Amino acid sequence: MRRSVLITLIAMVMGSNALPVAASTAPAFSLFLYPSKVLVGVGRNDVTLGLLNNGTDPVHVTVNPSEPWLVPDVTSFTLAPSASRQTAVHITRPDASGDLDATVAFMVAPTGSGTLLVARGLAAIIVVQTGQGVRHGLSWSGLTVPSFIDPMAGSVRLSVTAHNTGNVHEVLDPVSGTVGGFFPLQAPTAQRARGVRFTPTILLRDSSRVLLADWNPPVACWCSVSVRGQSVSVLVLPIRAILVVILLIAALVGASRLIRRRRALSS
Amino acid sequence: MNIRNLAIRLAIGLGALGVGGVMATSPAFAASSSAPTTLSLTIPVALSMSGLAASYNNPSAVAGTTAHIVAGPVTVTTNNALGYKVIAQASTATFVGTGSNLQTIPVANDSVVVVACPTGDTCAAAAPLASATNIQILNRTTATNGDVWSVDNAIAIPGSLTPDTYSIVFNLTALTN
Repeated sequence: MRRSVLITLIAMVMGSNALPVAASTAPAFSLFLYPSKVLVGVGRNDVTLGLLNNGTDPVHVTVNPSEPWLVPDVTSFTLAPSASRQTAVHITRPDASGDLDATVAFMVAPTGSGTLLVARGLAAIIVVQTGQGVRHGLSWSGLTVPSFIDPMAGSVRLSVTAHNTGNVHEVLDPVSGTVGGFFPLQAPTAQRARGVRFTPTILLRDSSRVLLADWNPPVACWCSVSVRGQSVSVLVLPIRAILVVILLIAALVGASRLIRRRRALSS
Repeated sequence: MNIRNLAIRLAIGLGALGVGGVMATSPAFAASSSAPTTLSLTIPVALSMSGLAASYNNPSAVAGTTAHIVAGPVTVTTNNALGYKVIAQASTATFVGTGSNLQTIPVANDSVVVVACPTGDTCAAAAPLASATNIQILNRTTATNGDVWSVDNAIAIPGSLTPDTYSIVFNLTALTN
């Protein structure tokens, strides 16, 4: 009996490793593009994009640049299952200011018949810096923080919007916020609670993005959260814990009164 | 073989493997020297799409009604912290029939919308497909280990349309944000 249990356990452990491999079936169509976003600095005139066919069917791929100044080394190619190809794209910068944002799409034309013939594709974003006429225009708005927070509910999601009206991309890393104010119950880890770090990002020209951060508030505070010129006041109070304490005190007072009354009646 | 013997054999086997492993990783008669090796990985921003078939059909479509064709499910994965978006565009202005049939269905009769929109994604409301411009049907602002969704094509079929198979090439492209 013990032996059969042991063998069963070993089989289960081995099976748990082997099963996913045995059960995994590759789809007929699956493409993997890398890198799917490229920043091309001044002085660099080529990018290389890799495409891997992870599917079980061969695919015939057409390379479609969005701009005439992007010239791939091939216009189409066929990828067997598990095969990959590196496509070099030559950049001839036109006379322009700021960044040039373009795409190179790898499209797989539909085969067979049907009403809806689907051309499937992945496109890489190519951000080309010209280094000329650079104009920055970064602004911030809409810092959103709940006005009342119960820290017992866990971390709080903050958001702020970055707007790039310039003609070049902006690397927003790090985007850090600060928390200042009155901390009556400062815990040893409060220093950590005073910093807020938003998701780093690259903001393309003429675009906006909402950045998010998760903040672990202190036990209690009347504080202000600030990031990039935006500021919001917030009250942090463990209201649920306070209510529980009040209820416990009320219950104890009620119980002691009841006991006193019974004693008075019995005497 | 009883359980004790089995346990002893297992212990001996594992011990031998351990000794073998140690011997294999340390050269014989090696002096006590070490050469630190730095292993580094460069992970590019990547995007993958899988599962979408090359063609879809609705054999039971009736003239004068709206026929639905659901393309998918599609699985998209990206390690881009800003996520990805999906755009849809028709290759031609009409669904065309076969042979000498000159009747067509305007592409605007095809209203597309993502169904089973994944949690955290923003999926656009149903909108008519166009050939001149693309429409963004889905946006995600964080990385994903596998977003799964489908695209519903609701095609309004004119009541007077001649029986035939009408087709169009529908471009579905994913891009990182």
